[in-house]
Amino acid sequence: MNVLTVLWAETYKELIESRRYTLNLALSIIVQTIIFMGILFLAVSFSPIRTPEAVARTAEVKSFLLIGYIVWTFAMFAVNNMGQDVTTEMVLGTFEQKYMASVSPVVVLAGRALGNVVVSVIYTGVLLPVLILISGVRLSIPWTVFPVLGVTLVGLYGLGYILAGMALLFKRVGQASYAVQLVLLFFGGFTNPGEAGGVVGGFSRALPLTPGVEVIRSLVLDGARLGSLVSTGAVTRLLVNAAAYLAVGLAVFCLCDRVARRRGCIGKY
Amino acid sequence: MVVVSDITKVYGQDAVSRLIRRRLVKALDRVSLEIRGGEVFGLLGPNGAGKTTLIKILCGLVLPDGGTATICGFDILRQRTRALACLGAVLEGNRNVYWRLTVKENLTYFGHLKGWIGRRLKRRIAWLLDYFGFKDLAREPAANLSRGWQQRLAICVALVNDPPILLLDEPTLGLDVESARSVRDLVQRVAADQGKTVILSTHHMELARHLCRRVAVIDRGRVLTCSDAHALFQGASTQSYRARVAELPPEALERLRVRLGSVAPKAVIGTDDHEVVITLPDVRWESLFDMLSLLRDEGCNFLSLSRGESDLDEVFLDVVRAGREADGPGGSGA
Ligand SMILES: Nc1ncnc2c1ncn2[C@@H]1O[C@H](COP(=O)(O)OP(=O)(O)OP(=O)(O)O)[C@@H](O)[C@H]1O
Ligand SMILES: [Mg+2]
Repeated sequence: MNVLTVLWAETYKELIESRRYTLNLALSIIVQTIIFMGILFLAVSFSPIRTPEAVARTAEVKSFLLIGYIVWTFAMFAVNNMGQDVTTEMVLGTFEQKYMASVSPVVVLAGRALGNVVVSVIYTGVLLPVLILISGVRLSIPWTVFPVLGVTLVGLYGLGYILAGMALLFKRVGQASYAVQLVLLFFGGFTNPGEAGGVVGGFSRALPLTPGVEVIRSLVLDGARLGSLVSTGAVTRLLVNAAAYLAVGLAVFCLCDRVARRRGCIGKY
Repeated sequence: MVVVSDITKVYGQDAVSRLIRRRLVKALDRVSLEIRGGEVFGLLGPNGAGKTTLIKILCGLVLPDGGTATICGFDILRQRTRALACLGAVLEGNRNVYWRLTVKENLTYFGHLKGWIGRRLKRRIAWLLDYFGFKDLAREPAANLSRGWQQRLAICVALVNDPPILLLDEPTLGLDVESARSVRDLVQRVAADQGKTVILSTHHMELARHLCRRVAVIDRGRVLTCSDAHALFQGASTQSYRARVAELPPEALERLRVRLGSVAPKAVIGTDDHEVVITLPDVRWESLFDMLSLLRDEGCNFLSLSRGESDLDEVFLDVVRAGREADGPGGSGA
């Protein structure tokens, strides 16, 4: 009961606060659109558009990149905000009050995460049509994408917990989360681990973003059924990956929480 | 209600601090206190005494290195959330509430965090807004409130789930005289009408004397005394006499010292910028007459005689000084 109340309170507050950042979010959509156009331009410039096969291939590449980019947008929210929120609240000075809620800080942060997801869904709901329009790709999105996205988010927020824990101890984690976002973009969103193979492919698949992106690509681009992806092991990979990131994330956060409380630096900035 | 036993806290022993070779700081040294239900308890101590550390330990924000503490019978380590449900806290500084949220939004949000919801919370908030005089300010963002009203709001928020215990860390720090007084009266009202147990830390002796039933003086992590506030500050009303005479040659000063020692052993002779100051911490008239006739006999050039009341701060400083003397130099570094 308390858990639900706190989850609700956090989600609601996240929404109230995001409303005040509407302009910021709108600008962010523009920035993201520009970046994506740049990436498409690069991708297209390096492929010779002469033969009909090449044209078809370009369209394929575009959709491939678009899906990676969109799922990465969710990752960006998770990675950026979980750590950043902790830092912000420490600066505001409200963090300690929050820590004294009727549930464990893990749950309070989960509420934060949930609010974040809601905001990122709305945000992506605007971004996706814009990107589709600009890139001119055609996508049909089956419903099975959503549960897969949900599981992917669980893993991503596991990573978010790691950054939140780091923020408890080291206060400023902006650069770290920036680096993580870039790694996720290039090795998660844009890398095709199947084609890359070897160390890069392995590394890519170990990230919390890639297994989800792989499954979503199969669902959207190849029209695969979720059932058939279970047999190829892609779904299993996704589940194991998400569970592992969540478990590690919670463990790291709890560890950081203990150290921070021994150190007496919760809320100190 | 709140039982603190043998709480010890040494900062700098955690993994990160050890990694960056932080110095060890003994903030609390086997502190034991017992605060009874319904009383207002004061934690007095100079800067760095460990007051905030103790309060944060009770709030579950700092883990102690030794000892135990229970709140309403719940152990703060093993039953953290249940212990926390019994208290509301206003920590040092003015950032206990969200400045961008309104008064009411703050109350609602923190009410939810404490697990309250629905009509019960609505009614509680309506009551609090009224009780704390926020009726017309409910829709005002906290940022627009004056510093005194922000502190009021922080106290209001701390009471949103009607906890039996209220912790206040330096509640009047940074407030002007009037706001400080209004916060003081508020705390008194909350304690008296609502039967809340209040634990507050402060540097303001006047505040402590006004509000607290019992006080503990702590310095360098140790409880120097824990007593009835009345008894502690009793000393403050003791009168003393202070005579000032012109500078004396060393041998005359020494003779005065010896003779005064025999008639008024408690008298203190000091020199101060071409003057000799004799303080007589004694209310008996005879001692005063003895001292005066002695000064006349010695042919002192009399400058002034005044009656002083040693103030509350002096009492406090005396306790701290006595503690430090018993302790010897150093101390706080472990
Ligand atoms: N997180 C921390 N890490 C290391 N040392 C700390 C930490 N917090 C407090 N200290 C040290 O512990 C001692 C006690 O600090 P504390 O803040 O509890 O004192 P205080 O009585 O509240 O003082 P003040 O009146 O200045 O608020 C001080 O020497 C302080 O420097
Ligand atoms: Mg303090």
